[in-house]
Amino acid sequence: MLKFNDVSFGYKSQRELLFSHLDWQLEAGGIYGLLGPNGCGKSTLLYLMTGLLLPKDGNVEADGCDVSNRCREVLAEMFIVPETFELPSETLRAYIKLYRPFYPHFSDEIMQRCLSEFDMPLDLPLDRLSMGQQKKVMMAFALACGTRYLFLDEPTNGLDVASKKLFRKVMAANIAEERTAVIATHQISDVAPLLDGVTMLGRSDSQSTSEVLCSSSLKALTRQLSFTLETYPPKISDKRLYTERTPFGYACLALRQDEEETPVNLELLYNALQQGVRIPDFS
Amino acid sequence: MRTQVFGSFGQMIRWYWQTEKRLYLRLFLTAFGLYVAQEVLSTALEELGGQAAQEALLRLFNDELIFWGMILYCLAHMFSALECKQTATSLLSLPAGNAEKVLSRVVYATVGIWLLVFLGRCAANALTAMPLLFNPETSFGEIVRRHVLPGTWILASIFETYNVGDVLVYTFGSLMIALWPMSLFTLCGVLFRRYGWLWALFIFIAATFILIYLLELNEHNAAWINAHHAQFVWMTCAVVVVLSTANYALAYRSFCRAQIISDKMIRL
Repeated sequence: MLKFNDVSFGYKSQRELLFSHLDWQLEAGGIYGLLGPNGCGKSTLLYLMTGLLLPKDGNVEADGCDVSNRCREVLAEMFIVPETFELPSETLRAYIKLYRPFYPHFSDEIMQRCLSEFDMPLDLPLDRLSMGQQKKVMMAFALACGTRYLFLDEPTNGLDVASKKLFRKVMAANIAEERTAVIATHQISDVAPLLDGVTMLGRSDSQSTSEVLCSSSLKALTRQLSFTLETYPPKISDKRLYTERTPFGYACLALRQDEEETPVNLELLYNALQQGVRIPDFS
Repeated sequence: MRTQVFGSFGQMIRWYWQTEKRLYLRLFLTAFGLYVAQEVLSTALEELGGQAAQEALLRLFNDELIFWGMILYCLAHMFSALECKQTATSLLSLPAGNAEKVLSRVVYATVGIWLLVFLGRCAANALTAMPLLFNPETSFGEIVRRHVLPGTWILASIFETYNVGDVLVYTFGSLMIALWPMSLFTLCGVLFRRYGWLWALFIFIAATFILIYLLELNEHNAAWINAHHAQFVWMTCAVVVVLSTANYALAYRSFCRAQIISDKMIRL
């Protein structure tokens, strides 16, 4: 389990704190989406989870260990693929040879499978690959490392449409149930089919700091909320939380009562939360 | 547990070597270039201004200056070399403890830099000994023995001393003297993202002046040192070890607080 205990964090270049007294936790197992607008601290949260950033106050725990200490046992169970990175001029074969001893659960089988899915060669110098190809290589390596926690920061940036589809396929096929993947992105539709849960960040009206607006499993959201598309403007009711006009009609978000379960419309939920709508805590 | 720590230590050294081959090649070429420049300049000055001009140059631009200058300058750069986007995030997220990362870095870089500067000197000697290859009276082995290897001042001093005990004392003394500036340059390299070597140099010069005042210019201290020479040597060693340990400990603490901000490693 990943746990933020009363975490405050801010960059020196900014006067205000980015997170103030943040309490948040993520149950182990599953793929979680970390969604939010630009600058709300998605990447910062990932970096705090991996110990690459250190909180000003409070602490972040992974399975009970403080990640700020960056001890070997904790780091061996974490892998982060940053949004942008540079790869060395080595071949992928040499890269794997260099890094795999650090990861005790590294799987050659998964590596081979992911590479063949992505159609990536082993003997090409990594620095000659395009950004999209480098992302594929890093994601294949990240999946093969077998770490308990996997963090991906904007993984679909730089991928073409076909590669995005492939990314979802590879992720779904190669992430074991007991592993936890956190995908930070603002491109909700790219990752929505993969997700078991979502955490949405944003800024409330009264505060300049970012906060977790919603953190829940998709199952819980399906049970508690109703997402419908209506032809005519819906009537105002207590249960209706948010309505948005779309080219196909009116997308409505409401608290679910007796009606049938509807698939979660993450974009609608995201827009509602960013517009100030607050939903009850379903966890 | 111990096997794991030593295992990570070895892995970290391998990682440093693999990720920094180009840096080490640059350092070797710099050392080689400096030694070649020294040879060329001293030969040219001997031709133009005679032996006095050559000696004047070698008093300023001598082997020791190049050797220690290179080592200290490189030590101040060994942590800032890790700051680039490619290595900073990888290093901090690599599954190894902070102590393993810092210790392996310090040991590996220190030994590596010594070796590179030494090899740079040998290569420069080899280059200047090239014309001897065309001399039929000189064998290849002799060229290597007399001109390539003994030219380095370390080997020369060891060969000249002959006495094993003296060699050990000399080596130990050199290491003790070198320990404090090496730790100081390492610390400043960790603390400051830019011009760490300049800060270290400033502190080193200031400390040297204070030391000279305390040991040489202060008559009371000078008299005490003359009377208790052995005691003074041991005291100096103890102070050097304590100060150096403090420097390395501070460098370690600073590394532990390092963070990745905008793809760069920020330590202060």
